Amino acid sequence: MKLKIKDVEFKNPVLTASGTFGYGNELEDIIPVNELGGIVTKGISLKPRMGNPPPRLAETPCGLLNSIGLENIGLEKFVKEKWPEIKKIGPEIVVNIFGEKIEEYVEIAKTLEKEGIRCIELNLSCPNVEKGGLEFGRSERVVRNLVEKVRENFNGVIFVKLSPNFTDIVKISKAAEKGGADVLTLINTIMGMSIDAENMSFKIPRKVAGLSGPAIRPIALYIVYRVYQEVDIPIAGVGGINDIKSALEFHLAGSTLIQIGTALFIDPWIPFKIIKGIEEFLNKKNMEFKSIIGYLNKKRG
Amino acid sequence: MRFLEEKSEIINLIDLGKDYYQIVISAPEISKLARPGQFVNIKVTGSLFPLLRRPFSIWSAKENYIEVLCKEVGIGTKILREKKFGKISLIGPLGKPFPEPSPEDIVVLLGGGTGIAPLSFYAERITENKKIFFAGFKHLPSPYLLRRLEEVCETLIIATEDGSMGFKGLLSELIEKEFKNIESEYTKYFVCGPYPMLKVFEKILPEQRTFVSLEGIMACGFGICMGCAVKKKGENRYLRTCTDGTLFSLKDIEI
Repeated sequence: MKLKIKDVEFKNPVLTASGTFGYGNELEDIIPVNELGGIVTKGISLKPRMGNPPPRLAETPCGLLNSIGLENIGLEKFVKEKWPEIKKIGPEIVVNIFGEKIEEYVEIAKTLEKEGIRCIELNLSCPNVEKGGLEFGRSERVVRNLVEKVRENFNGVIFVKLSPNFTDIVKISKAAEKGGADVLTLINTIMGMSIDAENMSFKIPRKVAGLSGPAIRPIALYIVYRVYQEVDIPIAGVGGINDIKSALEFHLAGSTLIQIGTALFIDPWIPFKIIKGIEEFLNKKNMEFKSIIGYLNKKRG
Repeated sequence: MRFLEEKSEIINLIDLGKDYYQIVISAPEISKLARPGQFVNIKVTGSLFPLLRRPFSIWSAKENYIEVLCKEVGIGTKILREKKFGKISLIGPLGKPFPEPSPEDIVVLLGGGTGIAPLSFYAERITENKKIFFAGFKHLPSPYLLRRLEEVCETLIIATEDGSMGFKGLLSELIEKEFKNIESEYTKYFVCGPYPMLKVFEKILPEQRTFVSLEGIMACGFGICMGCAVKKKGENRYLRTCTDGTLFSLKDIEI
Protein backbone atom coordinates (compact mmCIF):
# COMPACT_ATOMS: atom_id res chain seq x y z
CA MET A 1 0.00 0.00 0.00
CA LYS A 2 3.03 2.28 -0.32
CA LEU A 3 2.32 5.52 -2.14
CA LYS A 4 4.62 8.06 -3.64
CA ILE A 5 3.60 11.67 -4.12
CA LYS A 6 6.40 13.64 -5.75
CA ASP A 7 9.41 12.22 -3.96
CA VAL A 8 7.66 11.61 -0.65
CA GLU A 9 6.71 8.08 0.23
CA PHE A 10 3.74 7.28 2.45
CA LYS A 11 3.97 3.76 3.81
CA ASN A 12 0.19 3.40 3.64
CA PRO A 13 -2.74 5.68 2.77
CA VAL A 14 -3.97 6.30 6.32
CA LEU A 15 -3.15 9.69 7.86
CA THR A 16 -4.45 11.47 10.92
CA ALA A 17 -6.41 14.65 10.18
CA SER A 18 -5.31 18.09 11.31
CA GLY A 19 -6.63 19.18 14.68
CA THR A 20 -7.48 15.67 15.79
CA PHE A 21 -4.04 14.34 16.69
CA GLY A 22 -2.37 17.25 18.47
CA TYR A 23 1.13 18.00 17.19
CA GLY A 24 1.74 14.32 16.55
CA ASN A 25 3.67 12.85 19.46
CA GLU A 26 1.08 13.11 22.25
CA LEU A 27 0.12 9.43 21.97
CA GLU A 28 3.60 8.11 21.26
CA ASP A 29 3.54 5.85 24.33
CA ILE A 30 0.04 4.55 23.66
CA ILE A 31 -0.24 3.68 19.98
CA PRO A 32 2.33 2.57 17.36
CA VAL A 33 2.49 6.00 15.67
CA ASN A 34 5.31 4.88 13.35
CA GLU A 35 2.86 2.52 11.61
CA LEU A 36 0.69 5.40 10.43
CA GLY A 37 0.85 6.45 6.78
CA GLY A 38 1.32 9.99 7.97
CA ILE A 39 0.42 12.58 10.56
CA VAL A 40 -1.12 15.93 9.77
CA THR A 41 -0.32 18.30 12.63
CA LYS A 42 -2.54 20.87 14.28
CA GLY A 43 -2.76 24.05 12.26
CA ILE A 44 0.28 26.30 12.77
CA SER A 45 0.09 30.08 12.41
CA LEU A 46 2.81 32.70 12.30
CA LYS A 47 2.04 33.89 15.83
CA PRO A 48 0.74 31.74 18.71
CA ARG A 49 -3.04 31.60 19.09
CA MET A 50 -4.80 31.11 22.37
CA GLY A 51 -7.93 29.57 20.90
CA ASN A 52 -11.53 30.13 21.91
CA PRO A 53 -12.96 30.13 25.42
CA PRO A 54 -14.82 26.99 26.50
CA PRO A 55 -17.21 25.35 25.89
CA ARG A 56 -15.53 24.49 22.61
CA LEU A 57 -17.43 21.34 21.75
CA ALA A 58 -20.99 20.18 21.28
CA GLU A 59 -22.03 16.69 20.29
CA THR A 60 -24.71 16.38 17.61
CA PRO A 61 -26.39 13.29 16.13
CA CYS A 62 -23.47 11.18 14.83
CA GLY A 63 -21.34 14.31 14.74
CA LEU A 64 -19.25 16.77 16.69
CA LEU A 65 -19.23 20.55 16.51
CA ASN A 66 -15.96 22.20 17.44
CA SER A 67 -14.84 25.73 17.94
CA ILE A 68 -11.29 25.25 19.21
CA GLY A 69 -10.28 28.49 17.52
CA LEU A 70 -7.08 27.12 15.94
CA GLU A 71 -5.20 27.18 19.24
CA ASN A 72 -1.52 26.61 18.57
CA ILE A 73 1.93 27.52 19.82
CA GLY A 74 2.93 29.49 16.71
CA LEU A 75 5.59 28.88 14.06
CA GLU A 76 8.67 29.78 16.07
CA LYS A 77 7.92 27.50 19.00
CA PHE A 78 6.72 24.75 16.66
CA VAL A 79 10.00 24.77 14.77
CA LYS A 80 12.14 25.01 17.92
CA GLU A 81 10.32 22.67 20.27
CA LYS A 82 7.89 20.39 18.44
CA TRP A 83 9.52 19.66 15.10
CA PRO A 84 12.71 18.10 16.58
CA GLU A 85 10.45 15.73 18.56
CA ILE A 86 7.92 14.80 15.90
CA LYS A 87 10.35 14.31 13.05
CA LYS A 88 11.81 11.41 15.02
CA ILE A 89 8.61 9.42 15.41
CA GLY A 90 8.59 7.83 11.98
CA PRO A 91 5.69 8.48 9.66
CA GLU A 92 5.63 11.31 7.15
CA ILE A 93 4.67 14.57 8.88
CA VAL A 94 2.39 17.00 7.08
CA VAL A 95 2.42 20.40 8.78
CA ASN A 96 -0.96 22.08 8.51
CA ILE A 97 -0.67 25.86 8.23
CA PHE A 98 -3.01 28.83 8.09
CA GLY A 99 -2.85 32.60 8.10
CA GLU A 100 -4.84 35.76 7.85
CA LYS A 101 -2.95 37.06 4.80
CA ILE A 102 -1.40 35.32 1.81
CA GLU A 103 2.03 36.57 2.93
CA GLU A 104 1.64 34.70 6.21
CA TYR A 105 1.11 31.38 4.41
CA VAL A 106 4.19 32.15 2.30
CA GLU A 107 6.34 33.05 5.27
CA ILE A 108 5.38 29.92 7.18
CA ALA A 109 5.97 27.73 4.12
CA LYS A 110 9.41 29.29 3.57
CA THR A 111 10.44 28.69 7.16
CA LEU A 112 9.18 25.11 7.12
CA GLU A 113 11.07 24.35 3.92
CA LYS A 114 14.25 25.68 5.52
CA GLU A 115 13.69 23.28 8.43
CA GLY A 116 13.51 20.33 6.06
CA ILE A 117 9.76 19.80 6.26
CA ARG A 118 8.64 17.96 3.13
CA CYS A 119 4.85 18.22 3.31
CA ILE A 120 2.50 21.05 4.20
CA GLU A 121 -1.25 21.35 4.18
CA LEU A 122 -2.86 24.74 3.58
CA ASN A 123 -6.03 25.28 5.56
CA LEU A 124 -8.02 27.66 3.37
CA SER A 125 -11.09 27.82 5.61
CA CYS A 126 -9.68 30.82 7.47
CA PRO A 127 -10.81 34.42 7.28
CA ASN A 128 -8.81 36.56 4.86
CA VAL A 129 -8.41 39.86 6.70
CA GLU A 130 -7.53 41.67 3.50
CA LYS A 131 -10.84 40.64 1.96
CA GLY A 132 -13.12 41.63 4.82
CA GLY A 133 -12.76 38.34 6.64
CA LEU A 134 -14.16 36.13 3.87
CA GLU A 135 -12.62 32.68 3.81
CA PHE A 136 -9.68 32.27 1.42
CA GLY A 137 -11.34 29.14 0.10
CA ARG A 138 -14.38 31.03 -1.19
CA SER A 139 -12.74 32.59 -4.23
CA GLU A 140 -11.16 30.71 -7.14
CA ARG A 141 -8.92 33.67 -7.88
CA VAL A 142 -7.69 33.98 -4.29
CA VAL A 143 -7.13 30.24 -3.95
CA ARG A 144 -5.12 30.05 -7.17
CA ASN A 145 -3.08 33.11 -6.23
CA LEU A 146 -2.42 31.83 -2.70
CA VAL A 147 -1.37 28.36 -3.84
CA GLU A 148 0.85 29.82 -6.58
CA LYS A 149 2.63 32.07 -4.08
CA VAL A 150 3.22 29.20 -1.68
CA ARG A 151 4.32 26.98 -4.59
CA GLU A 152 7.01 29.50 -5.53
CA ASN A 153 8.45 29.16 -2.05
CA PHE A 154 7.96 25.51 -1.19
CA ASN A 155 9.31 22.59 -3.19
CA GLY A 156 7.80 19.75 -1.20
CA VAL A 157 4.29 18.30 -1.30
CA ILE A 158 1.49 20.85 -0.90
CA PHE A 159 -1.86 19.60 0.33
CA VAL A 160 -4.72 22.09 -0.02
CA LYS A 161 -7.58 21.52 2.41
CA LEU A 162 -10.98 22.81 1.36
CA SER A 163 -14.40 23.05 2.88
CA PRO A 164 -17.68 22.97 0.98
CA ASN A 165 -19.12 26.01 2.78
CA PHE A 166 -20.72 28.54 0.41
CA THR A 167 -18.95 27.64 -2.83
CA ASP A 168 -18.70 25.12 -5.63
CA ILE A 169 -15.86 23.07 -4.28
CA VAL A 170 -15.14 21.56 -7.71
CA LYS A 171 -14.23 24.99 -9.10
CA ILE A 172 -12.15 25.81 -6.03
CA SER A 173 -10.39 22.44 -6.30
CA LYS A 174 -9.50 23.14 -9.92
CA ALA A 175 -8.16 26.56 -8.94
CA ALA A 176 -5.95 24.94 -6.31
CA GLU A 177 -4.70 22.42 -8.87
CA LYS A 178 -3.88 25.19 -11.33
CA GLY A 179 -2.05 27.04 -8.59
CA GLY A 180 0.24 24.07 -8.13
CA ALA A 181 -1.29 21.95 -5.35
CA ASP A 182 -0.07 18.36 -5.16
CA VAL A 183 -2.93 16.89 -3.11
CA LEU A 184 -6.45 18.09 -2.34
CA THR A 185 -7.67 17.37 1.18
CA LEU A 186 -11.45 17.04 0.99
CA ILE A 187 -13.22 18.07 3.15
CA ASN A 188 -12.69 20.38 6.09
CA THR A 189 -15.52 20.67 8.64
CA ILE A 190 -18.88 22.06 7.59
CA MET A 191 -20.25 25.08 9.42
CA GLY A 192 -22.98 24.23 11.86
CA MET A 193 -24.75 25.29 15.02
CA SER A 194 -26.28 23.80 18.13
CA ILE A 195 -28.77 25.39 20.50
CA ASP A 196 -29.72 24.46 24.05
CA ALA A 197 -33.46 25.02 23.87
CA GLU A 198 -34.09 24.49 27.59
CA ASN A 199 -31.65 27.25 28.54
CA MET A 200 -32.41 29.27 25.40
CA SER A 201 -28.73 29.69 24.58
CA PHE A 202 -26.12 28.61 22.06
CA LYS A 203 -24.20 25.50 23.07
CA ILE A 204 -20.97 27.08 21.77
CA PRO A 205 -20.51 30.77 22.65
CA ARG A 206 -19.21 31.60 19.16
CA LYS A 207 -22.49 30.19 17.81
CA VAL A 208 -21.00 28.84 14.57
CA ALA A 209 -18.71 25.83 14.74
CA GLY A 210 -17.25 23.16 12.47
CA LEU A 211 -19.16 19.92 12.11
CA SER A 212 -17.22 16.67 11.77
CA GLY A 213 -17.82 12.97 12.24
CA PRO A 214 -19.99 10.39 10.45
CA ALA A 215 -22.76 13.00 10.12
CA ILE A 216 -20.80 14.66 7.28
CA ARG A 217 -19.55 11.47 5.63
CA PRO A 218 -22.07 11.31 2.72
CA ILE A 219 -21.31 14.94 1.87
CA ALA A 220 -17.55 14.39 1.97
CA LEU A 221 -17.86 11.23 -0.08
CA TYR A 222 -19.91 12.98 -2.78
CA ILE A 223 -17.41 15.83 -2.95
CA VAL A 224 -14.49 13.41 -3.34
CA TYR A 225 -16.47 11.64 -6.08
CA ARG A 226 -17.18 14.89 -7.97
CA VAL A 227 -13.74 16.43 -7.62
CA TYR A 228 -12.00 13.18 -8.67
CA GLN A 229 -13.72 13.47 -12.05
CA GLU A 230 -12.40 16.95 -12.64
CA VAL A 231 -8.82 17.02 -11.35
CA ASP A 232 -5.67 15.03 -11.99
CA ILE A 233 -3.93 15.41 -8.63
CA PRO A 234 -4.54 12.91 -5.82
CA ILE A 235 -7.22 13.45 -3.20
CA ALA A 236 -6.91 12.89 0.55
CA GLY A 237 -10.47 12.06 1.57
CA VAL A 238 -11.60 13.06 5.06
CA GLY A 239 -14.95 13.37 6.77
CA GLY A 240 -16.51 10.82 9.07
CA ILE A 241 -14.22 7.89 8.33
CA ASN A 242 -14.49 5.72 11.40
CA ASP A 243 -14.08 2.12 10.29
CA ILE A 244 -12.72 -0.11 7.53
CA LYS A 245 -15.85 0.11 5.40
CA SER A 246 -16.03 3.88 5.46
CA ALA A 247 -12.32 4.08 4.60
CA LEU A 248 -12.90 1.84 1.58
CA GLU A 249 -15.88 3.97 0.51
CA PHE A 250 -13.53 6.94 0.14
CA HIS A 251 -10.97 5.00 -1.87
CA LEU A 252 -13.64 3.63 -4.19
CA ALA A 253 -14.98 7.15 -4.74
CA GLY A 254 -11.54 8.48 -5.67
CA SER A 255 -9.38 9.11 -2.58
CA THR A 256 -5.74 8.14 -2.85
CA LEU A 257 -5.03 9.00 0.77
CA ILE A 258 -7.50 9.14 3.63
CA GLN A 259 -7.42 11.09 6.88
CA ILE A 260 -8.98 9.97 10.13
CA GLY A 261 -10.23 12.74 12.40
CA THR A 262 -13.02 12.67 14.93
CA ALA A 263 -12.92 8.86 15.11
CA LEU A 264 -9.53 9.14 16.87
CA PHE A 265 -11.24 10.73 19.87
CA ILE A 266 -13.35 7.62 20.34
CA ASP A 267 -10.77 5.04 19.35
CA PRO A 268 -7.14 6.15 18.93
CA TRP A 269 -6.28 2.64 17.67
CA ILE A 270 -8.70 2.90 14.73
CA PRO A 271 -6.10 3.86 12.06
CA PHE A 272 -4.30 0.56 12.57
CA LYS A 273 -7.52 -1.44 12.34
CA ILE A 274 -8.26 0.40 9.09
CA ILE A 275 -4.77 -0.22 7.64
CA LYS A 276 -5.07 -3.92 8.41
CA GLY A 277 -8.66 -4.00 7.15
CA ILE A 278 -7.77 -2.47 3.80
CA GLU A 279 -4.96 -5.02 3.36
CA GLU A 280 -7.34 -7.88 4.14
CA PHE A 281 -9.92 -6.46 1.73
CA LEU A 282 -7.32 -6.31 -1.05
CA ASN A 283 -6.23 -9.87 -0.38
CA LYS A 284 -9.82 -11.09 -0.38
CA LYS A 285 -10.59 -9.31 -3.66
CA ASN A 286 -7.17 -10.15 -5.04
CA MET A 287 -6.65 -6.55 -6.05
CA GLU A 288 -3.83 -4.03 -5.93
CA PHE A 289 -4.33 -0.97 -3.76
CA LYS A 290 -4.04 1.38 -6.74
CA SER A 291 -6.87 -0.35 -8.55
CA ILE A 292 -9.43 0.45 -5.86
CA ILE A 293 -8.74 4.20 -6.02
CA GLY A 294 -11.69 5.65 -7.92
CA TYR A 295 -12.97 2.15 -8.76
CA LEU A 296 -16.56 3.44 -8.79
CA ASN A 297 -15.69 6.64 -10.59
CA LYS A 298 -14.39 7.87 -13.92
CA LYS A 299 -12.12 10.73 -14.82
CA ARG A 300 -13.78 13.10 -17.22
CA GLY A 301 -12.26 13.56 -20.71
CA MET B 1 0.53 8.80 30.59
CA ARG B 2 -0.49 5.22 30.16
CA PHE B 3 -3.99 4.10 29.29
CA LEU B 4 -5.71 1.30 27.45
CA GLU B 5 -9.04 0.19 26.14
CA GLU B 6 -10.99 -2.61 27.78
CA LYS B 7 -14.02 -4.10 26.13
CA SER B 8 -15.95 -4.82 29.20
CA GLU B 9 -19.18 -5.61 30.93
CA ILE B 10 -21.29 -3.88 33.50
CA ILE B 11 -21.45 -6.46 36.27
CA ASN B 12 -23.75 -4.56 38.58
CA LEU B 13 -25.92 -1.48 38.49
CA ILE B 14 -27.26 -0.08 41.74
CA ASP B 15 -30.01 2.50 41.67
CA LEU B 16 -29.25 5.20 44.23
CA GLY B 17 -32.50 7.12 43.98
CA LYS B 18 -33.42 10.24 42.05
CA ASP B 19 -31.02 10.51 39.11
CA TYR B 20 -28.10 8.72 40.75
CA TYR B 21 -26.83 5.23 40.08
CA GLN B 22 -23.65 3.28 40.50
CA ILE B 23 -22.15 0.92 37.95
CA VAL B 24 -19.60 -1.75 38.62
CA ILE B 25 -17.51 -2.59 35.58
CA SER B 26 -15.27 -5.55 35.06
CA ALA B 27 -11.94 -3.99 34.04
CA PRO B 28 -8.96 -5.91 35.43
CA GLU B 29 -6.23 -3.92 33.64
CA ILE B 30 -7.64 -0.44 34.23
CA SER B 31 -8.43 -1.34 37.83
CA LYS B 32 -4.79 -2.25 38.44
CA LEU B 33 -3.56 1.10 37.09
CA ALA B 34 -6.27 3.37 38.49
CA ARG B 35 -5.35 6.00 41.08
CA PRO B 36 -7.62 8.49 42.85
CA GLY B 37 -8.49 11.45 40.65
CA GLN B 38 -8.36 9.51 37.42
CA PHE B 39 -11.28 8.85 35.14
CA VAL B 40 -12.52 6.48 32.47
CA ASN B 41 -14.12 7.40 29.16
CA ILE B 42 -17.01 5.09 28.39
CA LYS B 43 -18.64 4.31 25.04
CA VAL B 44 -22.15 3.41 26.08
CA THR B 45 -23.23 1.81 22.79
CA GLY B 46 -21.49 0.13 19.88
CA SER B 47 -23.31 2.43 17.47
CA LEU B 48 -22.74 5.97 16.22
CA PHE B 49 -25.23 7.46 18.64
CA PRO B 50 -24.19 8.87 20.94
CA LEU B 51 -20.96 9.34 19.05
CA LEU B 52 -18.54 10.25 21.82
CA ARG B 53 -17.45 8.52 24.97
CA ARG B 54 -18.65 9.81 28.31
CA PRO B 55 -16.09 10.64 31.03
CA PHE B 56 -16.66 9.39 34.60
CA SER B 57 -14.47 9.70 37.67
CA ILE B 58 -13.37 6.44 39.17
CA TRP B 59 -15.16 5.99 42.49
CA SER B 60 -13.21 2.94 43.49
CA ALA B 61 -10.94 0.32 41.96
CA LYS B 62 -10.66 -3.10 43.53
CA GLU B 63 -9.50 -6.50 42.34
CA ASN B 64 -10.86 -6.87 38.82
CA TYR B 65 -13.40 -4.10 38.71
CA ILE B 66 -13.95 -0.39 38.97
CA GLU B 67 -16.93 1.49 40.33
CA VAL B 68 -18.38 4.65 38.85
CA LEU B 69 -20.96 7.02 40.30
CA CYS B 70 -23.30 8.37 37.62
CA LYS B 71 -26.05 10.91 37.40
CA GLU B 72 -28.54 10.81 34.58
CA VAL B 73 -28.05 14.14 32.85
CA GLY B 74 -28.40 13.36 29.16
CA ILE B 75 -28.71 10.68 26.53
CA GLY B 76 -25.42 8.92 27.33
CA THR B 77 -26.10 8.51 31.02
CA LYS B 78 -29.72 7.52 30.26
CA ILE B 79 -28.63 4.73 27.91
CA LEU B 80 -26.04 3.59 30.42
CA ARG B 81 -28.64 3.39 33.17
CA GLU B 82 -31.10 1.46 31.02
CA LYS B 83 -28.37 -0.84 29.78
CA LYS B 84 -28.02 -2.55 33.12
CA PHE B 85 -25.92 -5.58 32.37
CA GLY B 86 -24.28 -5.26 29.03
CA LYS B 87 -21.17 -4.63 27.01
CA ILE B 88 -19.39 -1.31 27.01
CA SER B 89 -15.95 -0.13 26.00
CA LEU B 90 -13.88 1.95 28.34
CA ILE B 91 -10.61 3.80 27.98
CA GLY B 92 -8.59 4.58 31.05
CA PRO B 93 -7.26 5.39 33.46
CA LEU B 94 -7.09 8.97 32.20
CA GLY B 95 -5.97 12.20 33.84
CA LYS B 96 -3.32 12.71 36.49
CA PRO B 97 -3.76 11.07 39.88
CA PHE B 98 -4.30 13.36 42.88
CA PRO B 99 -0.99 14.02 44.71
CA GLU B 100 -0.10 12.14 47.86
CA PRO B 101 -0.66 14.36 50.91
CA SER B 102 2.19 15.26 53.29
CA PRO B 103 1.99 13.54 56.67
CA GLU B 104 0.98 16.72 58.50
CA ASP B 105 -1.81 17.63 56.04
CA ILE B 106 -5.38 17.80 57.22
CA VAL B 107 -7.37 16.74 54.19
CA VAL B 108 -10.72 18.46 53.75
CA LEU B 109 -12.83 16.99 50.96
CA LEU B 110 -15.63 19.10 49.54
CA GLY B 111 -17.88 17.20 47.14
CA GLY B 112 -21.13 18.20 45.52
CA GLY B 113 -23.32 15.58 43.81
CA THR B 114 -21.29 13.11 41.73
CA GLY B 115 -18.26 15.21 42.67
CA ILE B 116 -18.02 13.08 45.80
CA ALA B 117 -16.80 10.10 43.74
CA PRO B 118 -13.13 11.00 43.08
CA LEU B 119 -12.83 12.48 46.58
CA SER B 120 -14.17 9.29 48.11
CA PHE B 121 -11.61 7.25 46.15
CA TYR B 122 -8.90 9.63 47.39
CA ALA B 123 -10.09 9.29 51.00
CA GLU B 124 -10.15 5.51 50.63
CA ARG B 125 -6.48 5.43 49.65
CA ILE B 126 -5.24 7.97 52.22
CA THR B 127 -4.78 6.20 55.49
CA GLU B 128 -2.38 8.34 57.52
CA ASN B 129 -4.01 11.77 57.44
CA LYS B 130 -6.86 13.38 59.28
CA LYS B 131 -9.77 13.60 56.84
CA ILE B 132 -12.97 15.59 56.95
CA PHE B 133 -15.55 14.97 54.24
CA PHE B 134 -18.22 17.55 53.46
CA ALA B 135 -20.78 16.26 50.98
CA GLY B 136 -23.60 18.28 49.47
CA PHE B 137 -26.73 16.95 47.80
CA LYS B 138 -30.02 18.37 46.53
CA HIS B 139 -32.09 15.70 48.28
CA LEU B 140 -31.65 12.98 50.86
CA PRO B 141 -28.82 10.73 49.62
CA SER B 142 -29.32 6.98 49.60
CA PRO B 143 -28.25 5.08 52.74
CA TYR B 144 -25.83 3.08 50.59
CA LEU B 145 -24.10 6.24 49.39
CA LEU B 146 -23.81 7.53 52.95
CA ARG B 147 -22.40 4.26 54.19
CA ARG B 148 -19.80 4.31 51.44
CA LEU B 149 -18.69 7.79 52.49
CA GLU B 150 -18.64 6.86 56.19
CA GLU B 151 -16.39 3.92 55.37
CA VAL B 152 -13.65 6.12 53.95
CA CYS B 153 -13.75 9.04 56.35
CA GLU B 154 -13.93 9.43 60.13
CA THR B 155 -15.79 12.74 59.91
CA LEU B 156 -18.65 13.10 57.44
CA ILE B 157 -20.76 16.23 57.33
CA ILE B 158 -23.78 16.45 55.04
CA ALA B 159 -25.63 19.38 53.55
CA THR B 160 -28.90 18.96 51.66
CA GLU B 161 -30.66 21.71 49.76
CA ASP B 162 -34.10 20.49 50.84
CA GLY B 163 -32.98 20.06 54.44
CA SER B 164 -33.81 16.35 54.52
CA MET B 165 -30.48 15.65 56.19
CA GLY B 166 -27.75 17.62 57.96
CA PHE B 167 -27.28 21.29 57.17
CA LYS B 168 -30.14 22.79 55.18
CA GLY B 169 -28.72 24.67 52.22
CA LEU B 170 -25.85 24.65 49.78
CA LEU B 171 -22.54 23.04 50.65
CA SER B 172 -20.86 26.37 49.96
CA GLU B 173 -23.11 28.04 52.59
CA LEU B 174 -22.15 25.38 55.10
CA ILE B 175 -18.45 25.92 54.40
CA GLU B 176 -18.77 29.70 54.72
CA LYS B 177 -20.16 29.02 58.18
CA GLU B 178 -17.68 26.30 59.19
CA PHE B 179 -14.57 27.74 57.56
CA LYS B 180 -12.94 29.12 60.71
CA ASN B 181 -13.35 25.73 62.44
CA ILE B 182 -11.56 23.75 59.75
CA GLU B 183 -8.99 26.23 58.53
CA SER B 184 -5.37 25.88 59.63
CA GLU B 185 -2.04 26.21 57.91
CA TYR B 186 -2.05 22.43 57.46
CA THR B 187 -5.52 22.21 55.92
CA LYS B 188 -5.66 21.24 52.26
CA TYR B 189 -8.97 21.53 50.43
CA PHE B 190 -9.94 19.17 47.63
CA VAL B 191 -13.04 20.29 45.79
CA CYS B 192 -15.17 18.59 43.14
CA GLY B 193 -18.67 19.47 42.11
CA PRO B 194 -20.90 21.69 39.99
CA TYR B 195 -19.58 24.90 38.50
CA PRO B 196 -21.59 27.38 40.69
CA MET B 197 -20.22 25.63 43.79
CA LEU B 198 -16.65 25.99 42.53
CA LYS B 199 -17.24 29.69 41.89
CA VAL B 200 -18.18 30.22 45.54
CA PHE B 201 -15.27 28.17 46.86
CA GLU B 202 -12.93 30.17 44.67
CA LYS B 203 -13.82 33.21 46.73
CA ILE B 204 -13.73 31.72 50.23
CA LEU B 205 -10.93 29.15 50.24
CA PRO B 206 -7.18 29.91 50.35
CA GLU B 207 -5.91 29.51 46.78
CA GLN B 208 -2.49 28.16 47.79
CA ARG B 209 -4.02 25.19 49.58
CA THR B 210 -7.12 24.54 47.50
CA PHE B 211 -7.23 22.00 44.69
CA VAL B 212 -10.14 21.75 42.33
CA SER B 213 -11.02 18.72 40.24
CA LEU B 214 -12.76 19.95 37.10
CA GLU B 215 -15.26 18.41 34.78
CA GLY B 216 -14.90 19.57 31.19
CA ILE B 217 -16.76 18.92 27.97
CA MET B 218 -14.24 16.71 26.24
CA ALA B 219 -14.18 14.59 23.11
CA CYS B 220 -11.14 12.39 23.72
CA GLY B 221 -9.97 12.55 27.34
CA PHE B 222 -6.32 12.02 26.41
CA GLY B 223 -5.04 15.34 25.17
CA ILE B 224 -5.60 15.53 21.43
CA CYS B 225 -8.95 17.25 20.87
CA MET B 226 -8.19 20.48 22.80
CA GLY B 227 -11.84 20.68 23.73
CA CYS B 228 -11.60 20.77 27.55
CA ALA B 229 -9.79 24.09 27.79
CA VAL B 230 -9.29 25.77 31.15
CA LYS B 231 -7.76 29.22 31.40
CA LYS B 232 -4.36 29.50 33.08
CA LYS B 233 -4.40 32.29 35.62
CA GLY B 234 -2.31 35.29 34.60
CA GLU B 235 -1.34 33.87 31.23
CA ASN B 236 -2.83 34.02 27.75
CA ARG B 237 -3.17 30.32 27.33
CA TYR B 238 -5.41 27.40 28.11
CA LEU B 239 -4.60 24.17 29.89
CA ARG B 240 -6.38 20.90 29.21
CA THR B 241 -8.63 19.46 31.89
CA CYS B 242 -7.97 15.90 30.73
CA THR B 243 -4.17 15.72 30.70
CA ASP B 244 -3.08 18.74 32.78
CA GLY B 245 -5.74 17.89 35.40
CA THR B 246 -8.34 17.04 36.30
CA LEU B 247 -6.98 18.47 39.56
CA PHE B 248 -5.71 22.04 39.50
CA SER B 249 -4.43 24.31 42.21
CA LEU B 250 -6.79 27.24 42.57
CA LYS B 251 -3.80 29.54 42.15
CA ASP B 252 -3.19 28.23 38.63
CA ILE B 253 -6.57 28.49 36.92
CA GLU B 254 -9.53 30.74 36.29
CA ILE B 255 -12.80 29.02 37.06
